[in-house]
Amino acid sequence: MKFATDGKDGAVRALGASFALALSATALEGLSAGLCLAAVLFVTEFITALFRPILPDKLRFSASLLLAATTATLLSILAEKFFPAFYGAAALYFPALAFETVVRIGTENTDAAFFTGLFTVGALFLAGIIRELLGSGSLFGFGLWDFQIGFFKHPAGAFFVLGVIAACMNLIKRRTHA
Amino acid sequence: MKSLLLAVFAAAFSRNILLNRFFGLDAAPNLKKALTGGLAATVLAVLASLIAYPISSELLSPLGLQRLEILLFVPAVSALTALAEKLLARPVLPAAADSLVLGVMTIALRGEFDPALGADPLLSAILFPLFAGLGFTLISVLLTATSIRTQHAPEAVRGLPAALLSASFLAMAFYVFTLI
Repeated sequence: MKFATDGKDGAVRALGASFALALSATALEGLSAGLCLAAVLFVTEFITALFRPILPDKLRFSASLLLAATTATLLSILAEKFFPAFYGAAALYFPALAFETVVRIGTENTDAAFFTGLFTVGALFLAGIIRELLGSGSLFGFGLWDFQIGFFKHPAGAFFVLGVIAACMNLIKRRTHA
Repeated sequence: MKSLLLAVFAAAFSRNILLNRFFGLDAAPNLKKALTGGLAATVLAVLASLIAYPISSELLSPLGLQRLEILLFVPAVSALTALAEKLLARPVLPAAADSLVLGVMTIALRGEFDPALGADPLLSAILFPLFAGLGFTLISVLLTATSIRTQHAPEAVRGLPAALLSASFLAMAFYVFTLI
């Protein structure tokens, strides 16, 4: 259960990242943003863990940051080539992705990084579904109804939905600990 | 002059770096730390943009190496914030200072505010970080003030959820500035 707890803690912190907040307007965008965050987090932690025996503690943070920056660069190139629509929305946020994963989320081991990534993908996907359903009355681009609440399309809606999800995750964590 | 004022207003209020671009969300422990941290981050953002502007426009863009911006600027901003922490001899900068400075720098380098500043990218690289940083400081102080008052809220809401929900209400309030 330790991994799951670590995962929830990291995922709650991930919800405050600019990449998560800016890219959760639709279900597909939320899923893509979650996968990007999870990929940077896992690759960085996995490679750092591989080199841990020969990597001095003093250099660990710098090495993690460089690895995260490299992974973010590769992801931005892939997104530009294969998912231009997502890249259009995310281009501004890719540079800060390295700091968001290493400084804000910063997991302790590969297992924690994996579970944090998993919970982050789930949380952002859920945020995207809620915002798309309520903000645009559609899901995955397919219109479901005419009822729309503009608030959920705006930045205020992103803060609100992710704040409620973060509070729910904290509540679940407390219940599972009790 | 009017376009300059509009650009300044946009950078600080209507397109606030925290409420509209989501960079640097973090509640400081007290109001003094929020104010000093915000101002320190503003100075860093201006410095970072001033250093990055010639590198980007004179070196990376002519050589077609813009893709290396992330790899180059992430360690540079990290080194700059570490140097600032060392010079100040105490932790003044907010926890999210790195991503805030990089975010502001990225927007300034993309010349997003150039049209409003009479197409002068250097002016944009100085003025945008300055006023975006001051806008961030204002929101950071307001968020911290709210966060201090949510100390008695249920445990699940304290911390990041409270900061996110407070930011949501502030974003709604600041939305009126986009209508001007």
